[in-house]
Amino acid sequence: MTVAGLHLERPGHLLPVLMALAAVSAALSISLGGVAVSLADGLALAARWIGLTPSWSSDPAAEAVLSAIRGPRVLLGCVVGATLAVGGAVMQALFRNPLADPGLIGVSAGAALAASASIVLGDALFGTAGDLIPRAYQLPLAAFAGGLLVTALVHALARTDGRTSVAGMLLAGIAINAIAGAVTGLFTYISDDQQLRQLTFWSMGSLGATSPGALAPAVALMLVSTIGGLLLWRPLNLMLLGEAEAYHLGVSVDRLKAAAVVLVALGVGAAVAAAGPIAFVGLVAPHLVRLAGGADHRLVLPGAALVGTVLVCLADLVARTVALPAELPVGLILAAGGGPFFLALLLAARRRGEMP
Amino acid sequence: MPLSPLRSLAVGASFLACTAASVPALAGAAEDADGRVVRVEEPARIISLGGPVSEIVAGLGHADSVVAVDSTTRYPPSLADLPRVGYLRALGAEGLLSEAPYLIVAQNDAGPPRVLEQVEAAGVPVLRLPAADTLEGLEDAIRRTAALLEAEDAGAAMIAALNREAAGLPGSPAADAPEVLFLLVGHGGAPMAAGHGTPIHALIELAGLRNAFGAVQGWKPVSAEALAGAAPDGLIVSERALDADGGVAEMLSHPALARVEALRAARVVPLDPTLLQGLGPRTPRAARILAETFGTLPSPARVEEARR
Repeated sequence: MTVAGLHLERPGHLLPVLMALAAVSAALSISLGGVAVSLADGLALAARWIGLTPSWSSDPAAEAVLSAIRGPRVLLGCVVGATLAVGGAVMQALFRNPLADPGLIGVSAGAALAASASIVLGDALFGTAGDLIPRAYQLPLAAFAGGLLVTALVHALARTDGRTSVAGMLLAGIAINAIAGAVTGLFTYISDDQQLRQLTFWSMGSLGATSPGALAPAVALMLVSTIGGLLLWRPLNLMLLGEAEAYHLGVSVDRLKAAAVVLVALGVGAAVAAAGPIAFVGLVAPHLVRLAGGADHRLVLPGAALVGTVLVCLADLVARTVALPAELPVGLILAAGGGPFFLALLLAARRRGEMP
Repeated sequence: MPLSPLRSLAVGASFLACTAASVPALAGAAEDADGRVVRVEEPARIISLGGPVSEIVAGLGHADSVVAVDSTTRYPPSLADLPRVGYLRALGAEGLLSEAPYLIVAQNDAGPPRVLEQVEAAGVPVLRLPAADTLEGLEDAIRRTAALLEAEDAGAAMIAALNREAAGLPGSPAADAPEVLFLLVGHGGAPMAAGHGTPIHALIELAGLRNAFGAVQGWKPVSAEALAGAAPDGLIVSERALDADGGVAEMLSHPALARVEALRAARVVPLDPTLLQGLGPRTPRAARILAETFGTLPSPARVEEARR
């Protein structure tokens, strides 16, 4: 197997390489940005976190930037990247379709629908509960709930006599995605000037505007989803042989489908709630790993998590530094940088005759 | 260690010098849109967010203290070469902080709110002004900005000038006032009309004119059918859009407008696009131009004619 000329004798070596790449990307993201932060500042902050008092003096402004702005942002970026990528890998295995991504079962469309409802209707969306929920939490809560509800609807529509049809889920997903898109469009139409702009920028995705209260639960949910996804490697490998074959090899196929859908909906719902829709990662990260190391899910799932982390971390680093003092949408960098890279890998694989 | 008399004198003098220098500098304070008091130590290294806000800051004599502006600031030209922190509603916390500002003055809808909170958490005071939909609101915004920048006299002068220019304006339309339509054309999609709740609507009413789309809320895309019943006396467009389209005839050939005969008879008035973002210090002057064009205010030329 080769990656852009780099020959991997044993695909098992891919994971350590990806781990190193992810660590380097995270370290770069933490140390670079609009405000200069020295290594001493970072070490002082790390020392204080583990309860030590550093003897050297450090810049309190730089520490504030690290702990309040850049730290949470990089953490969110890493976790969102891993979650979307593992979600994509699980969906591709479940649907046995290389074009599947987490959006297929309606999570993203449902979250976008609920987010636009929250932006346009404001407090009215939650009725009397609107007073109880602080405004900063209303949009992420609505987005998360919307993602779960629409996914549950898609799953329910595809069930007959206690069995879930994968093709049914795919078709129901397409229909429900279209309907959710229409309702989102309606909210966009009735929005006023300010709401419209808020909608537009929300739909581009951003890692920089999450409230600290929403960050911790979102990261926790995404970690549960990612780890849960990694643990599904064995039944997902058997699913590659075909659904009937997997069933006869002892996989309880319907439980696997339910588990996969719940895990993906939880994780991707939380990701969209915290960072808005970030496309491309879920679709492409698993393919990058497969191109380099084959289709074994022992490799694809953790590999995709690491590739997703690298992609989102680096894209966000570019997004927030390249146009300083302004900031670009992270989705734009992901698509503009990741697209050609992915194409180059595809073409290289095809030239070697590994791809159709 | 006991201080020698000479040394303690020097220390005392430098202490006095310090306090004398910092007393006026600590005074700048103003309430923001949420009623919180924002204080600044020194009205320097300002980031100004929002076209009208930048005009106010510059008009108060602080143009030289501005270090960065947002992408909607295009006037006065002296601010145009400053670093741009991006679009008003899509700011980045580190981008703002990278200009090492001492304070940020922001239009009401600057954001995302969470980003401004992050900047405040990093120790930079942010004055988010209340929304200025009326001349009173504009005066209030000027007063607050002046208080924060310790430019109360300049603020009072700016408000006096504003009132002087607004004094002769009709202020609200009569029932039979000419009807005008604002269209934003040339951004690729359907033309957008300005309904009520937009700064254009306030400008049109200030000039004593009726907004043909006044019954609609906010910006709405219009089609040939929606315009079919309209018979506006005037069509207001942005100068920049007109230039980009290549003139009036070119603009009216847009598919959504080409078949609307009434628009051909309408008088087309191009306006400086920086006047369209919100009410600002130059709004009364723009309203006067509109009022004179459509005759709700006698134009200086006509007054001159009448005298002869």
